[in-house]
Amino acid sequence: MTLGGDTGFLIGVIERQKVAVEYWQQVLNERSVLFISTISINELLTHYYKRGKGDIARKLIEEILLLGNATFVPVDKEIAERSAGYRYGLGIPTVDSIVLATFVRHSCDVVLTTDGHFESAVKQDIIKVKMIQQSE
Amino acid sequence: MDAIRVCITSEGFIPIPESVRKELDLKPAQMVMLHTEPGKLIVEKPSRQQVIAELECLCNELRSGEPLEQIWAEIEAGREEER
Repeated sequence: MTLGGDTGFLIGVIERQKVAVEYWQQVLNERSVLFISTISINELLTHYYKRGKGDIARKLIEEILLLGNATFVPVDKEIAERSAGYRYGLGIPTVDSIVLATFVRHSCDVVLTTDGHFESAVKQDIIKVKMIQQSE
Repeated sequence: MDAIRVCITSEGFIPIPESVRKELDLKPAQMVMLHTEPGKLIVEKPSRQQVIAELECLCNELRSGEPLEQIWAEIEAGREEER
Protein backbone atom coordinates (compact mmCIF):
# COMPACT_ATOMS: atom_id res chain seq x y z
CA MET A 1 0.00 0.00 0.00
CA THR A 2 1.17 3.52 -0.74
CA LEU A 3 0.56 5.88 2.17
CA GLY A 4 0.62 9.67 2.31
CA GLY A 5 1.58 10.76 5.81
CA ASP A 6 0.64 14.25 6.91
CA THR A 7 2.35 16.03 9.82
CA GLY A 8 -0.39 14.98 12.24
CA PHE A 9 0.31 11.36 11.36
CA LEU A 10 3.99 11.74 12.31
CA ILE A 11 3.00 13.37 15.60
CA GLY A 12 0.54 10.52 16.11
CA VAL A 13 3.35 7.99 15.65
CA ILE A 14 5.54 9.83 18.15
CA GLU A 15 2.69 10.08 20.66
CA ARG A 16 1.70 6.44 20.09
CA GLN A 17 -1.78 7.15 18.75
CA LYS A 18 -3.26 3.74 17.97
CA VAL A 19 -4.22 4.14 14.29
CA ALA A 20 -1.04 6.05 13.43
CA VAL A 21 1.08 3.32 15.00
CA GLU A 22 -0.80 0.60 13.07
CA TYR A 23 0.01 2.27 9.74
CA TRP A 24 3.57 3.02 10.88
CA GLN A 25 4.07 -0.69 11.58
CA GLN A 26 3.13 -1.39 7.95
CA VAL A 27 5.96 0.92 6.90
CA LEU A 28 8.45 -0.62 9.32
CA ASN A 29 7.47 -4.11 8.12
CA GLU A 30 7.92 -2.99 4.49
CA ARG A 31 4.29 -3.78 3.66
CA SER A 32 3.70 -0.12 2.75
CA VAL A 33 5.68 2.76 1.36
CA LEU A 34 5.29 6.20 2.86
CA PHE A 35 5.39 9.60 1.18
CA ILE A 36 5.69 12.74 3.29
CA SER A 37 5.79 16.32 2.02
CA THR A 38 8.86 18.34 2.94
CA ILE A 39 6.32 20.84 4.26
CA SER A 40 5.91 18.41 7.15
CA ILE A 41 9.60 18.81 7.97
CA ASN A 42 8.92 22.50 8.48
CA GLU A 43 5.88 21.86 10.66
CA LEU A 44 7.48 19.07 12.65
CA LEU A 45 10.66 21.03 13.36
CA THR A 46 8.72 24.19 14.24
CA HIS A 47 6.66 22.16 16.68
CA TYR A 48 9.74 20.67 18.36
CA TYR A 49 11.83 23.86 18.26
CA LYS A 50 9.11 25.40 20.42
CA ARG A 51 9.62 22.55 22.85
CA GLY A 52 13.44 22.66 22.80
CA LYS A 53 13.71 19.33 20.99
CA GLY A 54 14.64 20.46 17.48
CA ASP A 55 17.89 18.46 17.38
CA ILE A 56 16.11 15.23 18.24
CA ALA A 57 13.43 15.91 15.63
CA ARG A 58 16.10 16.50 12.99
CA LYS A 59 17.70 13.17 13.88
CA LEU A 60 14.29 11.51 13.58
CA ILE A 61 13.87 12.87 10.05
CA GLU A 62 17.30 11.60 9.02
CA GLU A 63 16.56 8.22 10.55
CA ILE A 64 13.20 7.94 8.75
CA LEU A 65 15.08 8.40 5.48
CA LEU A 66 17.30 5.43 6.31
CA LEU A 67 14.28 3.13 6.18
CA GLY A 68 14.40 3.33 2.40
CA ASN A 69 10.62 3.01 1.94
CA ALA A 70 9.80 6.42 3.38
CA THR A 71 10.42 9.52 1.27
CA PHE A 72 10.21 13.25 1.90
CA VAL A 73 8.93 14.85 -1.29
CA PRO A 74 9.94 18.43 -2.16
CA VAL A 75 7.64 20.84 -3.97
CA ASP A 76 8.39 20.69 -7.69
CA LYS A 77 6.70 22.42 -10.62
CA GLU A 78 4.03 19.77 -11.04
CA ILE A 79 3.11 19.74 -7.36
CA ALA A 80 3.02 23.55 -7.29
CA GLU A 81 0.72 23.68 -10.31
CA ARG A 82 -1.56 20.95 -9.02
CA SER A 83 -1.72 22.54 -5.58
CA ALA A 84 -2.88 25.83 -7.08
CA GLY A 85 -5.86 23.98 -8.55
CA TYR A 86 -6.70 22.47 -5.17
CA ARG A 87 -6.23 25.75 -3.35
CA TYR A 88 -8.57 27.53 -5.73
CA GLY A 89 -10.98 24.70 -6.43
CA LEU A 90 -11.33 23.30 -2.92
CA GLY A 91 -10.76 26.54 -1.04
CA ILE A 92 -8.16 25.00 1.25
CA PRO A 93 -5.04 26.68 2.70
CA THR A 94 -1.86 26.67 0.61
CA VAL A 95 -0.05 24.21 2.87
CA ASP A 96 -2.93 21.71 2.71
CA SER A 97 -3.10 22.07 -1.07
CA ILE A 98 0.64 21.35 -1.42
CA VAL A 99 0.47 18.34 0.87
CA LEU A 100 -2.58 17.02 -1.00
CA ALA A 101 -0.93 17.56 -4.40
CA THR A 102 2.15 15.68 -3.15
CA PHE A 103 0.08 12.62 -2.24
CA VAL A 104 -1.93 12.70 -5.46
CA ARG A 105 1.27 13.03 -7.50
CA HIS A 106 2.61 9.86 -5.87
CA SER A 107 -0.67 7.98 -6.28
CA CYS A 108 -1.10 7.39 -2.56
CA ASP A 109 -3.84 4.87 -1.75
CA VAL A 110 -4.72 6.68 1.43
CA VAL A 111 -3.82 9.91 3.18
CA LEU A 112 -3.22 9.74 6.91
CA THR A 113 -4.09 13.08 8.42
CA THR A 114 -5.68 14.92 11.30
CA ASP A 115 -6.57 17.94 9.19
CA GLY A 116 -10.26 18.40 8.43
CA HIS A 117 -9.51 20.32 5.24
CA PHE A 118 -8.75 17.03 3.49
CA GLU A 119 -12.40 16.04 3.75
CA SER A 120 -13.15 18.34 0.83
CA ALA A 121 -10.76 16.23 -1.26
CA VAL A 122 -12.72 13.12 -0.28
CA LYS A 123 -16.00 14.73 -1.31
CA GLN A 124 -14.51 15.48 -4.74
CA ASP A 125 -13.26 11.88 -4.99
CA ILE A 126 -9.65 13.07 -5.37
CA ILE A 127 -8.11 10.71 -2.83
CA LYS A 128 -9.01 8.46 0.11
CA VAL A 129 -8.38 9.86 3.55
CA LYS A 130 -8.04 8.21 6.94
CA MET A 131 -8.70 10.78 9.62
CA ILE A 132 -6.63 10.04 12.70
CA GLN A 133 -8.43 10.98 15.88
CA GLN A 134 -7.38 11.04 19.50
CA SER A 135 -10.36 8.92 20.55
CA GLU A 136 -9.23 5.95 18.41
CA MET B 1 37.71 -0.16 -2.88
CA ASP B 2 41.45 -0.08 -2.15
CA ALA B 3 42.51 0.90 1.35
CA ILE B 4 42.78 4.63 1.93
CA ARG B 5 45.30 6.11 4.33
CA VAL B 6 43.83 8.63 6.79
CA CYS B 7 45.27 10.29 9.86
CA ILE B 8 43.60 10.23 13.29
CA THR B 9 43.13 13.83 14.40
CA SER B 10 44.62 15.21 17.59
CA GLU B 11 41.08 15.06 19.07
CA GLY B 12 40.93 11.34 18.29
CA PHE B 13 38.54 11.52 15.32
CA ILE B 14 39.04 9.45 12.20
CA PRO B 15 37.96 11.35 9.08
CA ILE B 16 35.95 9.35 6.57
CA PRO B 17 36.95 10.37 3.03
CA GLU B 18 34.19 11.45 0.65
CA SER B 19 34.77 8.45 -1.62
CA VAL B 20 34.04 6.10 1.29
CA ARG B 21 30.98 8.11 2.34
CA LYS B 22 29.69 7.86 -1.21
CA GLU B 23 30.32 4.14 -1.45
CA LEU B 24 28.45 3.47 1.80
CA ASP B 25 25.87 6.23 1.08
CA LEU B 26 26.63 7.84 4.42
CA LYS B 27 25.07 11.21 5.18
CA PRO B 28 26.32 13.92 7.58
CA ALA B 29 25.31 13.24 11.19
CA GLN B 30 24.27 9.71 10.29
CA MET B 31 24.72 7.00 12.87
CA VAL B 32 27.15 4.22 11.91
CA MET B 33 28.21 1.08 13.71
CA LEU B 34 31.88 0.64 14.59
CA HIS B 35 33.39 -2.66 15.57
CA THR B 36 36.79 -4.19 15.53
CA GLU B 37 38.38 -7.32 14.21
CA PRO B 38 42.00 -8.15 15.05
CA GLY B 39 43.96 -5.18 13.74
CA LYS B 40 40.92 -3.72 11.92
CA LEU B 41 38.28 -1.09 12.52
CA ILE B 42 35.04 -1.82 10.66
CA VAL B 43 32.51 0.90 9.83
CA GLU B 44 29.04 -0.39 8.98
CA LYS B 45 25.75 1.20 8.12
CA PRO B 46 23.12 0.17 10.66
CA SER B 47 20.76 -2.64 9.74
CA ARG B 48 17.04 -2.00 9.30
CA GLN B 49 16.42 -3.39 12.80
CA GLN B 50 18.99 -0.98 14.21
CA VAL B 51 17.32 1.93 12.36
CA ILE B 52 13.92 0.89 13.75
CA ALA B 53 15.38 0.68 17.25
CA GLU B 54 16.89 4.17 16.90
CA LEU B 55 13.55 5.52 15.61
CA GLU B 56 11.86 4.09 18.69
CA CYS B 57 14.41 5.80 20.96
CA LEU B 58 13.97 9.15 19.20
CA CYS B 59 10.17 8.90 19.39
CA ASN B 60 10.47 8.17 23.11
CA GLU B 61 12.60 11.30 23.55
CA LEU B 62 10.14 13.45 21.58
CA ARG B 63 6.96 12.12 23.19
CA SER B 64 5.36 14.79 25.36
CA GLY B 65 2.05 13.26 26.36
CA GLU B 66 0.34 16.53 25.47
CA PRO B 67 -3.26 16.10 24.33
CA LEU B 68 -3.11 15.21 20.64
CA GLU B 69 -6.13 17.34 19.74
CA GLN B 70 -4.23 20.34 21.14
CA ILE B 71 -1.08 19.59 19.12
CA TRP B 72 -3.03 18.98 15.93
CA ALA B 73 -5.05 22.17 16.43
CA GLU B 74 -1.76 24.07 16.79
CA ILE B 75 -0.44 22.67 13.49
CA GLU B 76 -3.73 23.31 11.69
CA ALA B 77 -3.77 26.88 13.00
CA GLY B 78 -0.28 27.35 11.55
CA ARG B 79 -1.60 26.31 8.14
CA GLU B 80 -4.28 28.93 8.24
CA GLU B 81 -1.81 31.72 9.02
CA GLU B 82 -1.87 33.03 5.47
CA ARG B 83 -1.57 36.65 4.56
